[in-house]
Amino acid sequence: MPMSRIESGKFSLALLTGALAAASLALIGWASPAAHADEERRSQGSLSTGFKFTESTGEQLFANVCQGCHMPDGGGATGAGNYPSLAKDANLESGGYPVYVVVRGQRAMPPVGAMMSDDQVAAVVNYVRTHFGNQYQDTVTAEDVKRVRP
Amino acid sequence: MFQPVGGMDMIGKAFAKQIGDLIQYDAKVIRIQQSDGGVTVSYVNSKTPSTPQIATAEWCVCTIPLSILGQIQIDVGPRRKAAIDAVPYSSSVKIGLQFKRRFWEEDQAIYGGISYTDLPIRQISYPSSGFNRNGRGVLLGAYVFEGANAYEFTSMAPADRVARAVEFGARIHPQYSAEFENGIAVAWHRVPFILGCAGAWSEKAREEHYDNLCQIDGRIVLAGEHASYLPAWQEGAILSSLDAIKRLHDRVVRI
Repeated sequence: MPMSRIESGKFSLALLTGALAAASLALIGWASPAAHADEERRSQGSLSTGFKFTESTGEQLFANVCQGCHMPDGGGATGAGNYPSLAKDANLESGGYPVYVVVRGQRAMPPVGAMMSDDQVAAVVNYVRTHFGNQYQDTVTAEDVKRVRP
Repeated sequence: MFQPVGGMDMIGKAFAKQIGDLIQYDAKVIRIQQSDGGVTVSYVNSKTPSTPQIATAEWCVCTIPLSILGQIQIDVGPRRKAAIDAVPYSSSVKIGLQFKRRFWEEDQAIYGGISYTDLPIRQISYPSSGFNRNGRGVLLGAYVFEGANAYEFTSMAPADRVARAVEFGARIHPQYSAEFENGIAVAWHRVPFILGCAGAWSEKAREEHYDNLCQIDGRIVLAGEHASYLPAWQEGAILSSLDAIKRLHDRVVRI
């Protein structure tokens, strides 16, 4: 496909002919902030710059990664299928299990841990296991994460 | 085919028009059983679920995305089940932005095409039709596929997705601030009927599971973009279904 690139400052404008579908967009107003009050507080400052996540705390990682599916209250969701709830979740009792799921993925859940360091995986697992009605006292460490990397 | 008037789903709608009321809408499948005699699918109305309904047939072509199918009890062998369970679903976000005028044409002589950027929006795509038309125009203001930013945009409130796309895009086109009107974002992990964008096969998973996924299992065969080598494309879905139907026909004729 013929392509010409115009270098302009930090970015390049690449002109392709006829490549992308121009989706017909239903043009509606913004969702009112009040309707999503529980999500708004989580909208973070700076976003990641590469393939991997740059958030460092468990709270930031949950708010920028996990809650997209598991929802801001960790309660999961139901459509044609389910996102499991992480709230008061007995499955989290053994810390090694959520570490494994985050690192390896499970069925439709992508292995999001591939975009995190061992410390980040440990941080977000520890966060989930101490929030949303979970009160597990033990913690997982970066060593625990390293052990289950593929 | 890449830019049907009215949007990509006009293709699906055109198929639907051909087969009319053969399609039953709002049917959420909850169980797929098979025996020597045939296939029985149990479903509930997704809007007003109550007593499960039953549909029976001699054969079944199942195109339910693996993200959903993995949660449905289905009578298939262990290799098929393992394949269904082997495919994560990718993250994707697209954001459409409406502007008072087609400033990219009027000010910068940009007609169609894409600007690529390392900003989290990843790209801005300009409409390929309606050149030099007066009045409003629409851009694809972000297309974020896999990688950290896709999950981050998914995790934002809907209004924030649009706001951030405007914020980032304004660094490329300062006209955004004066010309922006409104926008809409679609985050595929928030789409209830698929819970993700498409099947994300790794090379390893393909080697181990892909052929198993596609094999006819008794009276059931799977099809869809996830059972193709063109993931996330309608073309993959169509090729997959043609292949599955051909194999199923050969099987039926041999009996």
